[in-house]
This record gives sequence, structure tokens and C-alpha cells, in this order.
Amino acid sequence: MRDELRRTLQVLAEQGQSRDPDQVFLAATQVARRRQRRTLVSGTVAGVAVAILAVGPGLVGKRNDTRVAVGSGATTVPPGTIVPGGPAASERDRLMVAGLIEFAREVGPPALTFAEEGVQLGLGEDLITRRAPSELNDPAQWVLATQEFRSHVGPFSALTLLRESRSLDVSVGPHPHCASAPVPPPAGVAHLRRVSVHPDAADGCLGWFTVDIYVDAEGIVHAVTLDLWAP
Amino acid sequence: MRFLRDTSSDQERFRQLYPRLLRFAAVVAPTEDDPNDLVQEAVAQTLRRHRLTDLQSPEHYLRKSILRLASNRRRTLSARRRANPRLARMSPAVDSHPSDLADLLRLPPSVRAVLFLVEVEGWTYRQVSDLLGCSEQAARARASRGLRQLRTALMEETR
Repeated sequence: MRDELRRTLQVLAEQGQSRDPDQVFLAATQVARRRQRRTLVSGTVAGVAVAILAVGPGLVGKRNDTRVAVGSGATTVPPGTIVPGGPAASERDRLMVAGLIEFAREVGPPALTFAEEGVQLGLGEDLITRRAPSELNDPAQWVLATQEFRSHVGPFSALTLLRESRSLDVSVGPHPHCASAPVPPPAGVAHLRRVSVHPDAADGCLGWFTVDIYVDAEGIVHAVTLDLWAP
Repeated sequence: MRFLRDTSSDQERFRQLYPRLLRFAAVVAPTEDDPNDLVQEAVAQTLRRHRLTDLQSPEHYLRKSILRLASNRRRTLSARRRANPRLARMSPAVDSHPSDLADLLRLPPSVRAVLFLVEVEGWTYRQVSDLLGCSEQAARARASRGLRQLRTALMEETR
């Protein structure tokens, strides 16, 4: 009986028609992504509702004019986005961000003033490395070889994200971490002005990122951090 | 760089696992379902939470997931058949298979899984119990129950 059972089980096991495993995997990935997006949409709606309740109507105001126009990839800002207060982006901030985006898109060299002692590059609240101003002319030097960060797989580069995004937004000071609460700045640069560039709300949280540029009163860049959203 | 974007290493891992997962899915899947769908769903559910390469044993994890999905599917289909007897008559019955296969397909997916893993793949009951999330004794009990049912069916057929 055992042999017969084994044979029958073998027959049953062979009944599945083999497909291209890459196709099966691709289909599974697409399903997973679609479900993730659906979860994020509901999560974002809940997050925004919580933010409105938490900050009150006084802080949910009209957005300042913070659009960035760079070359052919001019960006637009949807109205009515929640801003957590703080100073509005100045003309200098906008020019600085525009310079970084142009550099990311290889339109020209970085039109930013870097600190002589170098610029610290980091992820989220962590400053990981320091690069000399001369090194920063090379996009490869902006890459952080961290393997994993907030469920995203590295390496990470602020320039890559800025290059790939078409619809960007600038803010100054603490800002919501997409649907989550603001993330504090790295301890070493907390005293500096934080100018952030991130995609507009239409991209959803999965594609959300922020590149935070820390500048002093003279507009000299001391640190640049990248942060991503994780479910 | 983005979440769920860099899946090349997972894809490579899955390519290696696929033939074994498909065989397992074919054993535990209800007759109405394509085993490939079970494998795909198990991978989709896993990828939402983990990268395959981050799991200690992705094969074990995926088999567990396939078995859970198969058991849920069987429960849903049974409930549907109970609620609608006409549907039960129209559904592709296990009786369309040769008698030995049909007898096997009447067993619950978890019992089929135990028998397949032990008899064909040579797993120990301890390993099987880990997959099923039960004690070793319970895994043995399921196997004996399955064998008893098959023996009874065989005896009835030969009578």
C-alpha cells in the first residue's frame, strides 16, 4: 500500500503544469505592489486625518509659493497641502534646490556653496559620511552604499531620486514624513536651516522621499540627508 | 532602490524554489485550483512583508503559506457547495480522477501534505510538525488518519 501511495502522490505532484518561474514571480510582485499601494492610500488618508485633528485648522493653511522651475522638468505644487508651519522657502532656498536638481539631472555642475570642511551625507537621522567640496562634483560620490534603509534596498543617492522625479516641492523646517510624524534632523546639524525637497502628495507614500539640505545663515551647505517612507 | 523594486535576488531565489513549490502546491491544492495560482499568491503575500533572501528558509515559509492558502480555499469551496447543492453537482468532482487519486484528493490538504512530505520527500515528522505548526505526535496522527481513510476506501473499492 505504501508504494502505491507514493506512486499516487508522485502522480499528483506532477499534475501542476510548469510555467516560466520568472512570469509567476513577476505576476506575484505586481499583485504585491498593487496591494501595497492600496494599503498606502488608506494609510495616507488616515494619516492626513490624524494630522488635521492633531495640528488643528490653524496649521492647515494655504501653501506658500514653493514651486521649483528647473529646465524642462518644471515642477508644480498642488494646492492645499498640509504644511507644518515654520519659515517659507526663500528665493535663495529655491535657487539652491534648483541648482541641486540641475546637477542631479546633469544640466550643469552643482550651483551650491559647500562648506570648506566638507558636506556630511546621511540617511534619515544618521550622518554617514563626509565628502570634500571637490568630491561632490562627481555624482558617484553622492552614493551611500548602505544595504537597507527603512525597508528599501540600497545603495542610496539623493541625486538619483531628484533626477527621476518630475513633480517636486520645497519646504523649510520640520515637515511631515509623508503620512507619518516629522522625523527630527540629525543631532549635529539640528541648529542649521533645513531646506527640504520632496515629491508632491500625488505620488503617494510609497514613492515619497525627502532630500534635506542643511544650510547656515550664509546659505552654505553643511549636510544633505535623504529619507524614505516605509510602511 | 525603492521598496519592492529591487527584486532580482528574490527572483533568482524563486527560480530555484519554483519546481519544488509547484509540486507541493499540486499535492495540497483543491482540484478546482491551478497550483500555480497558489504559488503565485503565496509569493505575493510573502513579498508584502519580506524579501525572500531575508528569510531564513524561504522554501519552508512559502510551503507554509501555500498550505494555509490551500486549506482556506478548500474551506471556502466546501462552504459554497454546502450552500448551493446545484453548484456541488456542477463542480469538477474528484470522482473524475482515477480512484486512487480521487481517494487521496478527498483528504484535507494538511493530511496530503504530511503524507507527501514524509513518503515522497523523506521529511521527518519533526520537520513536518514545524511546517504544520503542530506537535510531532499530531503530525503522526494526521498521517495515520490519512492512511486509515485511504485503506478504508481501498477496501470498499475491492469489495
